[in-house]
Amino acid sequence: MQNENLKSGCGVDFGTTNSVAAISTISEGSSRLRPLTREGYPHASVVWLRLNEPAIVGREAKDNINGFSDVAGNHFISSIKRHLGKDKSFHIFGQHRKAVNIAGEIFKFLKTDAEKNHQQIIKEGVVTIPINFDGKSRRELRKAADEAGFYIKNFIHEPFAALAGFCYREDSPNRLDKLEGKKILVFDWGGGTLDITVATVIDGILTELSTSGLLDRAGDKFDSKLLDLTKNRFLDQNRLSPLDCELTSNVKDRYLARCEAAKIELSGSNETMIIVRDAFQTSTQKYSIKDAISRKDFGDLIKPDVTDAKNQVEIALKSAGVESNEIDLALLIGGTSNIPLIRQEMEERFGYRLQEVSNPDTIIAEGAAVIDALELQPALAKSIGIQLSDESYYEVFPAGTIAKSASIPKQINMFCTDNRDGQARLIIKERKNKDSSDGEKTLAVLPIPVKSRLKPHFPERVIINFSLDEDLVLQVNGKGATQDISSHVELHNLCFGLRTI
Amino acid sequence: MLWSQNDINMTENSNINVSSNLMIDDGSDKPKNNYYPGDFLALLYPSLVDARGIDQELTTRQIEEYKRYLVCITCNKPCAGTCS
Repeated sequence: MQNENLKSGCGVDFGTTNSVAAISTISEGSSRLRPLTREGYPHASVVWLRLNEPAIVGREAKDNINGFSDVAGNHFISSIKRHLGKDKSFHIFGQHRKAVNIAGEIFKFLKTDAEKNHQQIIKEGVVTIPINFDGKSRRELRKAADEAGFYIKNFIHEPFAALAGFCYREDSPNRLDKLEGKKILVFDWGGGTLDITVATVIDGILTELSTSGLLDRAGDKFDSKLLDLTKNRFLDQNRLSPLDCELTSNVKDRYLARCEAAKIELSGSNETMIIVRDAFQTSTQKYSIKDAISRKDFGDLIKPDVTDAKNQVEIALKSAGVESNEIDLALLIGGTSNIPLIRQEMEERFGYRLQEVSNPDTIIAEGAAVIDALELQPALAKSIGIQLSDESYYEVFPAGTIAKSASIPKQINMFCTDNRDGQARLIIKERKNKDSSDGEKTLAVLPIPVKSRLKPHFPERVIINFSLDEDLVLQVNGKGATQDISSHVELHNLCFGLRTI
Repeated sequence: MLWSQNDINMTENSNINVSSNLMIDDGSDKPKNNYYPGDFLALLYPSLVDARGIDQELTTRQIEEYKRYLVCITCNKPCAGTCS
């Protein structure tokens, strides 16, 4: 950004519950990473919308949920990331506001805060995304950043960015060299999503071997579970019907904020209280919630989710072709990973190989900033191709293809060898190596309509277009020569490595 | 409609193997007969599966596919010999 010897990069971890931007500056022989937090804490992804006033974002918004959520002319929105890609809009002060606009407010805040801290205009950077964030969600996130005047140069998976942050920390030089050939599992359970990456370092290139994850299964879902538990206990004790005691959206905001605080307290103590004043109102009386929650209560509540998380670890290992005992290092990051039950499960699984990082709140943004400063580009970690009717493999994009260079559609002319059912079947595969079926995985089967009866001498031509767009989504279009309708599929769960151009 | 790997795990949970019916079109006029499934080829060109020429005209795989779909004289269905 500045002079030739100094490289600077910006990374943004746009989280469901918390967001962080970080700046990395690298000059000859030295590097510096700066997470831009408030007093060491990440910024809350909470937007406080006020009538005829500018929006307030971050800790200040979150701290005022209790005081202002019941006051007219104030509206609080949390976890906006969940609503991206779902055509969600909110009716606020008589106007419809799209989720993209609300997310844009968070980007504006992060950008302004980063510029103030860094004393430099920031226009672009690398932004992290959950593994299962689909194409539409990515496009909306990009749009939200655009609204704030921030251009997303590249997306990168959150756990993979965390691993980059771990490898390039200035206080531990040569860490990347030490990890050469080692298998690393990153378990990132944050406020909104669980994301797992199994990765390795091949010839100095950080490479994903597999990914897995769950959307909508973390932090604020656990808050909702705590809310439901305490609410139902209260209704049972007072013999009230749920229909008599509906939570208004403002009370729900306060209630959830208290549940989140209780969840965090339970990581350090065995019991906590959830107190919510004037939570319910019947025609005759107002009721407040006051309930004690033990760590065991909470553990029982989230046990099914923890089991699902363990299954996702299995899926990631299996997909990478790695046994649990072959993992050399397991990194535990994300706020939800602080829950004792989860930590205990991971310790049982990986023992001494489990490592906690010193900067769990900021490591993802820091990793993204380093990737930007070093101008590393996501490149396909595996070959992508098609299975042909003779069961051979036709490579479309070789491993190592830089995503940007694959953004121009690659056209492949094919013909249908059997049109009896009026359908051509395009089988899209991923391989570690194009010449060997080891680690082969079917990504999707795309049915393409063709005419079911043709003369024998004229098999129907089918034209397929492959491209890997700037959002790291593989777009595949197929169309039969006799048909008006084309088939389309988007694949977002691909593995990447980090290369220099 | 799209079948993704999340819906169908073709190698582990199912004994149904979805196979491709697409082949690269190199633009040449070379006959494409060897890419058709044997049973389909027999429908298109019955003369090719004549007992005298079948070994020359069809690949081993196509012969197998063709035989699998022959109607059995015992059960009158393409049972591939499983009825007996």
